[in-house]
Amino acid sequence: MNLENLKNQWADYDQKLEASLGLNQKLMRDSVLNKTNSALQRLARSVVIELFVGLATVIVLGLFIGDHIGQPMFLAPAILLHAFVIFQVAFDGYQWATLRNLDYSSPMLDIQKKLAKLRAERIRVTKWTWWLAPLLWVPLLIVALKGLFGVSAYAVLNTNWLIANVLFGVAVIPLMVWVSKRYADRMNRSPRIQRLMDDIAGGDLKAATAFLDELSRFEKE
Amino acid sequence: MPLHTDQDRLLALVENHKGILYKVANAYCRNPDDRGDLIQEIVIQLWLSFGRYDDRHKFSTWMYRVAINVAISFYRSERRRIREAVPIEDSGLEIAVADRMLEDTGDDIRTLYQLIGQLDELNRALVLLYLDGYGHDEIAAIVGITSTNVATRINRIKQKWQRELDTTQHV
Repeated sequence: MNLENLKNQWADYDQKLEASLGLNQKLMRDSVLNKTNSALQRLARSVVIELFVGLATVIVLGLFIGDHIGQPMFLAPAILLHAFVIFQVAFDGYQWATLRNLDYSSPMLDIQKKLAKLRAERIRVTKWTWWLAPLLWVPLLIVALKGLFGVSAYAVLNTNWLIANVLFGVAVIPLMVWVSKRYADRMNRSPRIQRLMDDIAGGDLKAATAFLDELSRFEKE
Repeated sequence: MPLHTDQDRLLALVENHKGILYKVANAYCRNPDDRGDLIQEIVIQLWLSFGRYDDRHKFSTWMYRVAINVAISFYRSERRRIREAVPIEDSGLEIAVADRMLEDTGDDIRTLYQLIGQLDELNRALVLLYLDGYGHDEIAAIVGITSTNVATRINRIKQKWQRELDTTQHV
């Protein structure tokens, strides 16, 4: 057996293959019409939903900032939250634009690089969002109490309690990373949680960046 | 309506090159149950990209590009963990006869599929295109690397395979 023979056999096989395959046009048309099933479409849809929720939050926080411009105790936490949400919205917008402009008929290396880069960036942002979330809890509480109920957190909660919460947030970060690393692989029955935990732990990031390196090597050799 | 006209046109073109769907799905899905999912993803992406197809170029080349790009993304994505598999019969491609033919066709083609399956997903694309008779320049354009790189890689794979085939024959 040699490779040239195998290649010739492949050509014969290819001819018979076309004849042996059937194509159910009705089912295939249904797939096309139901294109929301596509993994990429689902991803784009979830990005658009996040984008709208984020934009609404930016507006609400903007109004809150406008109302408390002379009150640094409320202004500072609101600006912190606003910056965080604006970054998330900008990233969602960037993801949406990238997904929308993906041309799957581009050369393989181009499209795979774009997808791998986007994936690595998404994982980094998810990871940092979850890592920072415990620290944002106190500013969120201050702004939410004031914005929703007109109550000052500084008046109803004592300063020690607020400081303890910030310190608790700091302590939770390494704990969250440890739990994610330890239990991500065991979440077989809950793949979405597994993916989230992988993202927090940075496991998927290693795979995504390794693939980017692999693509660069593939291009250069 | 134009939508249906385009759909009909695409499906007619896919009908003439349906072997590409089968070969790519077989090359990229280790688990045969995943083939329905991948075929459906490819068909949807063909439809979404069809507006950019320039019919001065060969449809089969364009279809290969889309199919390989989807297959590599599919292969690498977590979708394998989160989806409920689409049965192959729901994908629209009827493969029972082709699967039987593959069984009956002898060991050589199955060996070839096994050898392809041992390659990483990028080299798998090169080999599929090479086996389908594409020249180095065409492969280079589809993959996005230089023809010299294509030639080097294909030679390396051929040598590796030849050594494996020789070893198998001697055992």
